[in-house]
Amino acid sequence: MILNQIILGCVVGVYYSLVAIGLVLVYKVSGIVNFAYGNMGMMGAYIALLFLGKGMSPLASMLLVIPVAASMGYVVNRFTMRPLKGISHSSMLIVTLGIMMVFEGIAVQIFGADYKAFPELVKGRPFVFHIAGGLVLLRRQDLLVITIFAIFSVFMALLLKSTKIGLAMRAVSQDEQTAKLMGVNSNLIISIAWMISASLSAVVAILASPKTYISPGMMIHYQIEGFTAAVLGGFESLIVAALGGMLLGILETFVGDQLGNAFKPTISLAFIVAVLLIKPEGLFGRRKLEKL
Amino acid sequence: MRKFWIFLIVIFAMALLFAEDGIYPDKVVIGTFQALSGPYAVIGQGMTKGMKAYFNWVNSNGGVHGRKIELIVADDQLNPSKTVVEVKRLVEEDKVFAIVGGLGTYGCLAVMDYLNSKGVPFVYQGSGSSKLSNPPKKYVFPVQPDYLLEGQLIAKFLVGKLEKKSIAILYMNNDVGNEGLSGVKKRLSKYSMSPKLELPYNPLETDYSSLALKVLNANPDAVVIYGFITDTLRWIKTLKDYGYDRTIVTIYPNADPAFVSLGKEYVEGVIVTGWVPIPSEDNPEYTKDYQKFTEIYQKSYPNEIPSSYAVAGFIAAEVFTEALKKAGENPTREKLVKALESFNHWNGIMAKDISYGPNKRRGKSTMYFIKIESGLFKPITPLMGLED
Repeated sequence: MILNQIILGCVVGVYYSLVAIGLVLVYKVSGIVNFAYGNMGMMGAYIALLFLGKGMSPLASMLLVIPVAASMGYVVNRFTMRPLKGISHSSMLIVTLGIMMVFEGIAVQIFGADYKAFPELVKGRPFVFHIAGGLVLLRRQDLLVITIFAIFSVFMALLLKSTKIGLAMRAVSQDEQTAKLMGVNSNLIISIAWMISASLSAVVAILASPKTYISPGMMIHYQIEGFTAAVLGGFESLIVAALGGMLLGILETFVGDQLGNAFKPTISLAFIVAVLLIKPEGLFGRRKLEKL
Repeated sequence: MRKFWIFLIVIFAMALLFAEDGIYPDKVVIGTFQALSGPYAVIGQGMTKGMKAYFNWVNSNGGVHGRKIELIVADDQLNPSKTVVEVKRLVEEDKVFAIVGGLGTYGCLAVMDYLNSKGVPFVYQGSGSSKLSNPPKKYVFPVQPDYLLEGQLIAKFLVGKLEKKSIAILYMNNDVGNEGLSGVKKRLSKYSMSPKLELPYNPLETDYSSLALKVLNANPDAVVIYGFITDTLRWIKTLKDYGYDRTIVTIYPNADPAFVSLGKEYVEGVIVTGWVPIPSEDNPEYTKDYQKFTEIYQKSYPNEIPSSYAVAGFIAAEVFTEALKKAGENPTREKLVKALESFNHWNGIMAKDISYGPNKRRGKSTMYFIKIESGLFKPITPLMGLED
């Protein structure tokens, strides 16, 4: 039974991980916790629905949304975040909250507030396994999400470790001023991070929509859980954010199973508070030492 | 002459002093609070459209006793703290005559006592909370059936009609779910039964796979889902994917075309409760009523298919308008209350079987059951009450 709870927890957690990665990516290069992240994805899902309405396949609709979402990420960063660079972190946070509401308002006005369906990219009956005396149901779409998670992780690892852009990203994330002095175009690097993050958010929203259905509030749960996962990982690195998401998914599944579902949000959040009290830098974070 | 003018001014001042808020020679101003934005905008916008469509139709036909009905809509985003502010503004600044069709259990409960103490009629709440009707409050007139009643009727239907022996209840971990659970348990206890499984859940969660295992382990004859459209659909998909093929019953907010269009083949065979007439071959009268409703709705919103939330708003507007008519040419809040209390199994276009009394505020005491077959809602029982 433990094994099947872990598997089911990972299936839930993989969505949190993808959201957490997008949040941490932007945070690492620009120091901004982007609360509009989920709603950027929600807008992407609506745009995918428009492509679908034009007769395109669900996969083609999703792929076409990626450049659109990337442009959205660029525009948000270029015209709101960059001009406001230098204001306090808390003010930036409020700005992203404002953008979140703007996106929601735009979605309600343009697309209406009713739920809309986006088909699964891979159809077919789910796989049902009997593992260790328990049942495990794996939807084909969830398996696709796990595959996309794996591919995206490899892509990000290669980007960060083996390309100049990746090197520049790491440099900007460590010290933007010094990176600039070394000739790194930090504005461009931050824009690229926003573009990747917004695209990822759109992909997550599209993949999650068979469960959540498309509506202006569709990403609220994922935004909160992804943020929690990122906090659990200490907003430290993409791998740690991914681990945080998985851990949160497994934790929630275990609490729901062992202590009762009503305790799930309470116990999960109490765990986060406990982690932050004991290890403020996050479960996997490293304590930063600064010379005085 | 001077005395005459003073007399006239005094009369005018007295008239202003004792004039009923919201009543003007040419119009009656009323207010409502709805979620026009935020995650529940789908409900609030639908309900608002239903109300506006009906009032537009009434106004285009000359209004009520020569007065047009003007509706002020406050957007509270289904946030009760905003509801309180907005309703106080409607009552104290906009001076509305009544609040008609407020949306959301917590918001309605938050302003219920305030409106009652101010003597402002509060007609129709977009909520199934039994606290609105029990204990009865002079100025609060619920129309929708409450979840306590519905839960009891569901248990009566499952055990009394379908002869189910074991029932699992999956309920949202909030007031709606808890009240529904109490209702089902209350009626089950009459049959000396208790639920095989009581499973609370968070409606915002997006995956119920691990919880579904508990349902399978309990292996009930029937599952009752106390949830709204998206979470109920997530449950049904998960249960059916796991191979659960027995009876599933869910609640009246899901008797909505969107439930079928989003759920597709998964909702086939699912039973929902209903309190609003559904057009079907067996009920030609209801079909006529529904056509009339659609015609009125589409005068304001051409080519738009009304949602069940629009039906709710329409009914709210119907009940209020009927009471306003009965209140006479010079309506006051007291006359409106008396008029509402005179409703005895009153039928409008979509509002059916509404009754109140001097100490009776549960407007609707009967419901029926509907099965989804070939993508259509098909009534499978007549209107049922607790007694019969």
